[in-house]
Amino acid sequence: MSYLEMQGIIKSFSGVRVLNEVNFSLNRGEVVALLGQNGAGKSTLIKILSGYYNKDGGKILINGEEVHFHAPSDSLARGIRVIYQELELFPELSVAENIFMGDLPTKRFAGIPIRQKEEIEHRAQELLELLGEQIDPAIPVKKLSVSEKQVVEIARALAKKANIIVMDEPTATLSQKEVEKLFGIIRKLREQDVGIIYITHRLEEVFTISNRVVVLRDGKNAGFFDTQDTSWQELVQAMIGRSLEELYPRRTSTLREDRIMLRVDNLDIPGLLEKTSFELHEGEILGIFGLVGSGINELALGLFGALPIRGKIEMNGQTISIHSPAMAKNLGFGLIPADRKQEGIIPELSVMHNITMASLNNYKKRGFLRRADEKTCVCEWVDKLKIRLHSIDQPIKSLSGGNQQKVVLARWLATQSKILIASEPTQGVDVGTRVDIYNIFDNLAKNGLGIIVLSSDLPEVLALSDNILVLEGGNIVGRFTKGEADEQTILYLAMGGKEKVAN
Amino acid sequence: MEKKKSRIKWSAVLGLLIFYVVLCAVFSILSPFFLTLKNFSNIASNMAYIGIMAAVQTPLLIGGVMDLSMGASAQLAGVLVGILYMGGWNIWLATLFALGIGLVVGFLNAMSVTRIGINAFIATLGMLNVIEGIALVLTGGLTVSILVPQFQFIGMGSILGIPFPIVLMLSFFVVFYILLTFTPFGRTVYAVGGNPVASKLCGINNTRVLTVLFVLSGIAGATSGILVASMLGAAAPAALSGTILTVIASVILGGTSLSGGSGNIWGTLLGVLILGTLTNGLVILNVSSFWQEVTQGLVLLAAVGIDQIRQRREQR
Repeated sequence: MSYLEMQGIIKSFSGVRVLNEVNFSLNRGEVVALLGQNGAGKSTLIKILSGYYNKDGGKILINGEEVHFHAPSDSLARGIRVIYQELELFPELSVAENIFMGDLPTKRFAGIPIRQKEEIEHRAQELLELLGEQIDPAIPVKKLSVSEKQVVEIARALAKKANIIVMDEPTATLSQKEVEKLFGIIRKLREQDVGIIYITHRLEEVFTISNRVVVLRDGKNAGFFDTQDTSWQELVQAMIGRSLEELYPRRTSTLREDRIMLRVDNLDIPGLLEKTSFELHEGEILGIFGLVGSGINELALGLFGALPIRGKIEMNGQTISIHSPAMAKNLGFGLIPADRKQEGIIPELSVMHNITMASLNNYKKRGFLRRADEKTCVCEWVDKLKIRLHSIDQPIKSLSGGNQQKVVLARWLATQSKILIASEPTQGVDVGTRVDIYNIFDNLAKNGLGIIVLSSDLPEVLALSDNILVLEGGNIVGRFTKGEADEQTILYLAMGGKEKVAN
Repeated sequence: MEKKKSRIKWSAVLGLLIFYVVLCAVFSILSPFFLTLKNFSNIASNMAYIGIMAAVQTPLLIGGVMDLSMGASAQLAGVLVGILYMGGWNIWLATLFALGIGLVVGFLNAMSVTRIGINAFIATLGMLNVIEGIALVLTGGLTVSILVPQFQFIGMGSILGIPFPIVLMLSFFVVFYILLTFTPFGRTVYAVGGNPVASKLCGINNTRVLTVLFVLSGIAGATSGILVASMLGAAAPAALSGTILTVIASVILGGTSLSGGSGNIWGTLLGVLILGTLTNGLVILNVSSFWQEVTQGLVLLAAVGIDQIRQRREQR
C-alpha cells in the first residue's frame, strides 16, 4: 500500500465521463510522472486530488486511511500542494510573506497582531537554503524571474509541511539552465521524503527525473511503468494508443530556390533583436531555433507588426513596411503566437468565431456577415485539420490545448496567408496533435506557402526545416541547411557558445 | 450538441423572461390598475431614455470598457438645446448641435482611453464630472424650459399609436442587435473585450473599435437627454444625476459580463423593463420611493447572484 492511493476514480461533466475508474499511487520520496495527451484527464485527476472538484466515484486513501476532500482546504490540510503553471503568488508582497501567507507568525501588542518581519524572513531564508537557493526573502515577488517564483512556490509548500507536491508542467516557461536547477530542487525534495507528481509533455524530462510513470488516455489508465525499464517508444505508444511510426514527417524539400518570398535585411527590434537578416522561399520551412529568452518570440511578433521594427523587408521583390498586425495580415502574413492562451484564443467565443475572426470581410455581403458562408469555410478547415469538437458553436475554451492550437492555425489558413509565422507551434500540445500539425505544415509548404517556425524544441526544428537559423541573445549565431545541421553544434551555439559557422 | 449550446446561451435570457412574467403576475394580483395596455406603454415610455443608454452601454461592456459619462452627456444635451433655443437658434439646429457635442464628448473619451491609456472607468468618471459641471455653469443651476410644439413630438408624439419614445428606444435595440450579431464590426467588439491581445494579433484595430463605440455612446447619451428634455418640456442641469447607475444595473441584470467578451442585447432590454416595471408596480402600490430603491438593489443582487450560482454549478 502506497502513501497515497487513488482507486477507481470516476468523474463526469454534464454526462460525459472524463475519468473512468482511474488508479494512481504515490509513495513519499518518489517522483511519479503523470503523462497523457491534452484531454486525457490529467488535470481533472489533479483537481480531484486537490479538492477542487468532487469525485463521482472511487476512493482516495492517505496512509491507508480513506479521506474525503470537499474543498481545496481539506486537501491542503492533508499536506497536498499543487503548483500550477500560472503561479499563485502575491506580486506586491515579499518573498517571505508569500512563503508564509496564511499563517504568518505574529506577536500581539495590546491585542493587535503585529507582523514579525525579521522572524519570517529568517525562516524563509532557511527554507530557501534547504532548496539550495539564494533569493533575498525581503524583496517583492514581482521582481523575481519565473523560475525564482517557482522556487518560492515550492518553499511555500514546504512551509505548509506538504508531503505531496504536484507540479503541473513546471518547465513550460523555463530556460534550459533553470530546468536543471529545478531538477536539483526536486531531488532535494525527494530527500526530504516528499512525494512528487510531475506532469509534463516533455518525455526527456520524464526519463531525467521520475521513478515511475503513470499514463492516462481518454480518461482511463493506459499503463504503469518503472522509468528505468521503459522506453520513449513505449510511453508514446501508451499515450496515443497506437504505435508511433514516426513523430516527425519525412519531408522532401519543396523549396523553390528561384522564388524568394521574403527578404529580411538588418532587422532590429530595439533592445531585443539586432541585425537579423534572412530569406524565405516559396515552399520553404525555415526553422529558427532559440532557447527561451533568445528573442524568437520577439522576432515573430516583430515580423507580424506587433512590435516596432527597423530594417528593410522585401516581399516578392518589393519593399514593404509592417507597422501593425493589420498591415501584416493584408500583406498575407499569418501568426501563430507563442502564448496560445494570452495571445491566441478569444476564450468566450465559439470555435467558429475564433476561426473567422481574422477573415471576417470574406463572409461579408452588403455589410452583413453571412453565416452560411462562414460555416462552409469553418467546416472545411475543421475537417481538413481534424479538429475534434462537438459543435463549431461550442466555446473554444472547452477544447483541449492541441485542438485550440489547430483553431488558431485554421484562423490563418482561412485568410489564405502566404507566409505563416509559427511561434512555438507545438508548445503544450499533445503528441497526437503534434504529428497532425507537422503534417499540416508539410502540406502547406508543398502548396507553396512559406513557413517560419520559431521554436525552442530542437528535434522539431531539425525535422521540419529546410534551413535553420540559430538565435541567441537577439543575434543570429548560426545558419545551417538541412543536411549540415547537427544537434550538438546548434545547441552549443544556442546556449551562447562561440560562433563556429558565420555567414 | 448544437442545440445544447444555444440552450445555454438563451437560458440566461429565458430566466429573466420568466422572472419578468412572475413579477408582472404578482403586481397584477396586488393591483387592478397594473395589467393594462396603457400602464405598460407608460412603463416603456418612462424607461425609454434609460433603454437608449443601456442599448449602447451593452456593446461597450462587451468590448471591455464602460462609459460612465453617458448620463452627464444626456444632461448637457438637454441643457444645450434649451439655452440655444432661448438664444434664438432654430430648435432642430440646436438639437443637431447637442448631438454633435455628444459625439465630441464620446470622441474625447475614446482618446483618453485608447491614446493616453487611462482606464475607461476613470476616464469616463472624470468626464462625467466635467460635463455635469459645464451643464451647471451654463445654466447657473437653473431649469431651462423648452416649450416648442414640434420638439415635443419626440417625447409626447406617437407613430401608429405607439409612443415615439418607445419607437426610438426599440430602434436603438434593433440597430445594435443587428450591429452586434450580423456585422464584422460587431464581431470584433466581442474579440476586443474577450482578449484584446489576441484580437490585435488577428489584425483587428482595437483602437478604432473602441473609438467607434465611445462615439456612439456619446451620441446615444445626447439622444437620451434630448428625449427627456422633450418629455419634460424643460432641461434641468442635474435632473439625470445617477441615472447611469440604473443604466449599468440594467445591462448587468441582462447578463452582460462586467469583464467583457460576452453579453446579449435582448437581455439588456429585459433588464430595463424589469427595473422599470418594478418601479411602476411599487408606485401603483403606493410604496414609498425610499423602499423602491431598496427593492431595485435587491433585485439586481438576486438576479446576478442566481446567475453566478448557475454558472458555478455548470462548471463544477
